[in-house]
Amino acid sequence: MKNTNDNLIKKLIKITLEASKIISDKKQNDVLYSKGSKREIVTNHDLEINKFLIKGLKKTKIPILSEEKKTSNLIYNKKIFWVIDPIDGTVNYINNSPNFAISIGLVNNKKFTLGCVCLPAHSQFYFNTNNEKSYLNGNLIKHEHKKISNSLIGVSLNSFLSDKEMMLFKKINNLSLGCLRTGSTSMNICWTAINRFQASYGFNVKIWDVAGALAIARSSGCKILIKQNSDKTLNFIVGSNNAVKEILKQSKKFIYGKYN
Amino acid sequence: MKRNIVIIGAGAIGRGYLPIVLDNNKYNFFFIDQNRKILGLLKKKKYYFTYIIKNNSYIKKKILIKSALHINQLDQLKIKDLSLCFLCIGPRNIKNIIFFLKKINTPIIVCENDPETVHEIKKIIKNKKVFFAVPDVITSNTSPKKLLKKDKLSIVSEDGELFVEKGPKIFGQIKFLQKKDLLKIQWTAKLYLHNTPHCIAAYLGSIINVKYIHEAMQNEFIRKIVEGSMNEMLKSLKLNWDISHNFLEWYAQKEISRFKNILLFDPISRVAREPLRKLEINGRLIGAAQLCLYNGVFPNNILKGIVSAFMFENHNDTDNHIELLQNSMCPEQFNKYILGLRSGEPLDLLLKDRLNQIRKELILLKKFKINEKY
Repeated sequence: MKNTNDNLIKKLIKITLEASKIISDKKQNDVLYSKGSKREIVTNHDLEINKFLIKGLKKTKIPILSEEKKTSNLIYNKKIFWVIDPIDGTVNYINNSPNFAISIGLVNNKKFTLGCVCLPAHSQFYFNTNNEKSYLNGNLIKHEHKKISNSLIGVSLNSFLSDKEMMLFKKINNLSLGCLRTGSTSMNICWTAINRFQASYGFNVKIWDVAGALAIARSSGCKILIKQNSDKTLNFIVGSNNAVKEILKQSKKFIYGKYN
Repeated sequence: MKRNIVIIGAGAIGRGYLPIVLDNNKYNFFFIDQNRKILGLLKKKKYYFTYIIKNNSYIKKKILIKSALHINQLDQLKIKDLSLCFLCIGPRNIKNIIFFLKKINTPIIVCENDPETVHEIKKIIKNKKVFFAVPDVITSNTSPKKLLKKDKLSIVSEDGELFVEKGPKIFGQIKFLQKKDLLKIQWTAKLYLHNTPHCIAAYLGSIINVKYIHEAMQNEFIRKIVEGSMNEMLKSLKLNWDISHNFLEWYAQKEISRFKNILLFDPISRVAREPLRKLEINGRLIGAAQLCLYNGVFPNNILKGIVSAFMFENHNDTDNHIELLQNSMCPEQFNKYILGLRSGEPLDLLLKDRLNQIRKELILLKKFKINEKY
């Protein structure tokens, strides 16, 4: 796997897994403050991991965008930047649910190119390489395309659900084997890459929730549709060709503009 | 009239061994592979020679080829004319041919070194006629230069035995066993008394940069580790299973002589390939060490084999990223995420404790090709 990004990938893996140790050390964790709704909380572990990731990535001299750090909007104009989410699924984490992730992604020329996502409670870590290969715990992964009728779908919903979103949820739930809202977008996408889910989608999700996982999903062979809503937020559908097509068709009412 | 057999995987077992035991007067051979170079030669020549080692010399056998196709051309095969299908392409490649297996209605014989593959195939294709087979043989996927000069496709094999789960009707020198006996005796012996020391010999051989298993076994340091790991497995199997001790002893001795056989030219690149697969939790290395610990046998030599697998370098190998993983993960994380060990379990602790020391020893082996001194 000799390629120009080898050192970056090594760094990615090293930093993500080292950060997961902060979680396994099981130090006391307190909710420090809320960023808006009662679900958008920040704990001292979020901040500790954030600090650790930033310190590690700084050496790469690539700008860093983090969920837990105020950053100038100018970062979105940069050709290349890291996007980190110290804990994706903090509410799950503080309630001892295993569905949370540590995620790092690299955005290059507005594309999600590299990613490393660790699900410490599931003993899983995912990464991809720039020669379009994705791995789970070191083993090559390849998404197998299935029809929506044979699919489990992962869903990322906003804190405040609209009626239209609920209607769509119901439709997709009925068309498939079921829709699951796990509470961690990056986990949904990684599980789509390994065919635990056959597709996942989300509206107005934050870029840090998806940056690492979408790079992994793309390299695993998933079809990906993205609609950028703002610098920070986007809609996405990822997974098997048929399921993505069907979700797109059903979500026409909610999604305006073109997916890339 | 001859019946048609499709052999998917024209490597060591597929091209080298199966045509030796299958009755050539009763079958036409259709070979399927991914290697275009081999396919090109098979198509062009329509025959090749396979050499069986008997009484320290080679016995030549000419194998006629009915057809050779690339794996992507599987749909060109006339399915209704097939009477048997053999699989020997490696467990990781099975998913690429599932579409074909779903279409055929003939018995499928799985020579994949992994009984789980049989369950997986049965589950997916919903065909009950899938049978496990254990080829008790070492077959090289090449041959010495003098034979290659005469025929680029020539291949060398031992005079082994093919054990197949009772069920299908196959003409040839085949031993049919009830599934439970096949799994309990032949598969257990093959997994732990063949696969474990065989791949350890290969990983250690790759450290001193030799090409064939018999060359690795000529190094005293390596030979001692391989024989040591064989003894560790032998002790564990005797404690763990009610398999005849005489059989196990005989099997172990037979294997060591096979590894040393200078006529076999068994390539290290073949035996050592896909180290991450060989490091799977229930497999020939980690599973073997766990079995030893479970039975109170200290796996001193198997640990060295495991670390030598971590150090395997081959840029053409599917698992060549093992080097990257090793360089970017601390032993604790490597044990958890890659090997699947639970934190604090005996093998996890042992590996963390011994890793650096063993690695140093193996680096010395690499640097000085240490031999008798150790």
